[in-house]
Amino acid sequence: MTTTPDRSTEIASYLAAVERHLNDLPSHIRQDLMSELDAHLTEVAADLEPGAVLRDLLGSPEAYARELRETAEVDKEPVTTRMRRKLSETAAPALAGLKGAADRYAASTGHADAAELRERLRPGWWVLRGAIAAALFVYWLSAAQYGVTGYSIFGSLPGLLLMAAVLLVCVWASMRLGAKSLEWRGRRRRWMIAGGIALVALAGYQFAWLYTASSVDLISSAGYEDDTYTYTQGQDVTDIYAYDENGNPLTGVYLFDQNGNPLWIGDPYACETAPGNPFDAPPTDEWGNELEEPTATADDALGYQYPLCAGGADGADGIAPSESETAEEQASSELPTESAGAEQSTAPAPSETPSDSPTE
Amino acid sequence: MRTGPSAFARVHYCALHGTVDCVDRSQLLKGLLDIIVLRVLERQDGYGYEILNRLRAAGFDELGDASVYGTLRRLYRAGYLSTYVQPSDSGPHRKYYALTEPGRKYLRQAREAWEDVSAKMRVLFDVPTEGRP
Repeated sequence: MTTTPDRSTEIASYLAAVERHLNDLPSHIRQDLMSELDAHLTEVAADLEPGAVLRDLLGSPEAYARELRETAEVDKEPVTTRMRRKLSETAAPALAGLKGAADRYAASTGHADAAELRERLRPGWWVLRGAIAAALFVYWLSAAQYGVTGYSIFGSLPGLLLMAAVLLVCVWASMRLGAKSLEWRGRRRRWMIAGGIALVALAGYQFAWLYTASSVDLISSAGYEDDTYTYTQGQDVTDIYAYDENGNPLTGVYLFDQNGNPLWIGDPYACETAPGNPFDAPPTDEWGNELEEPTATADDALGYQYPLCAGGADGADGIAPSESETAEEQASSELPTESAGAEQSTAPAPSETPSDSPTE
Repeated sequence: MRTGPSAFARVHYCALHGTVDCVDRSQLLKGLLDIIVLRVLERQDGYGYEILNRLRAAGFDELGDASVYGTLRRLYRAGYLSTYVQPSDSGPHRKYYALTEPGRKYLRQAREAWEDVSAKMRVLFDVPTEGRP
């Protein structure tokens, strides 16, 4: 019962077939199984009857591989580990290609490889990181204090000094952190990388409007989303007054864009008095006093009702709304609370002539 | 996806061995492979194919060579088994497997667990079956 040469070729072909069916196993398990299987099958073959073949005793290589796989602790690998392994295995070719491209790029710049280039660029990244942090800090600080004091620090000497100081401190801190983090490994290093990415992403999000609306005044646009059409001749549009062809001012006007979405222009809270729904709180005073109340009402589907602030009671601005039958009808037909609308329409209107032009 | 082919393989295997109930038994035995192999090696060191023969002699006909070999490698990786090579008078050198101290400890624990489960199963089956509607 000694192994014959044809036995060894039989073992080799059986081994190859088994290995083919274990291709998807983690490499360390597959290698462990295959490394000893050669010797094992030789042992088995040594005990074979002269006329028998390996296949008779062990079954097909597919079945053998399947049995191996079922006993080789494949399923006991944690799901997260398996997913990470699969991910890294699928991403490996792309990553290798990327690394090759990066190396070629680095070589073309006169460096040995991408790792050396990265090493050289590292202090630059630290400075950039500090500068980004400083920019975010100054931006948030100025936005917050502008909201409180109404004073823009940009373009002022104290602001310049503050910015320079913050920049110096942040860059210093970033470089110091960078030098320290060089010896960090594992979890702390990953946190550093994640923090850097988060900082860049945050800055990209925070300063994205620089690309989309670069002509807009920096501070005043900070809280507004609809800055594309709320500025005219460099000034905020805070309210809109509509007139018909005869020059009669229209009230209760809703504005929509080409898609039927309401235009949220202006800020009803910028009126001298807080806005209220005129229909909820019907004015009891005479017409002139009632105009002090903002007539605007906000509806999610309709937008603001213009004019937002029906102020300007003196009428010299030419923006005092007169009674407008069409507007009142429209308002009362759209809003079920008719009582207020009716009261408004019956209220005595100032006798302003249509010739009061809005251009004044 | 894997249940289909492997179930087919078991049926195929069972058909070869002429037993009907071995489909369930091989599944049952899968969970006990560690204990079975460790117990066989506790009594005496052995090499791959010889271990299989000992198992067959003990009545575990359903176990295939691949199952035993895969279990041996897994237990070896876990540190429960050690190996040494011995020349044989006929044929190639043989790789013998022997229990390590962790392996003995693991076998003790596994045995206790098995005794516990076995006793509970016994109680479970000893309860008289209620009349079904």
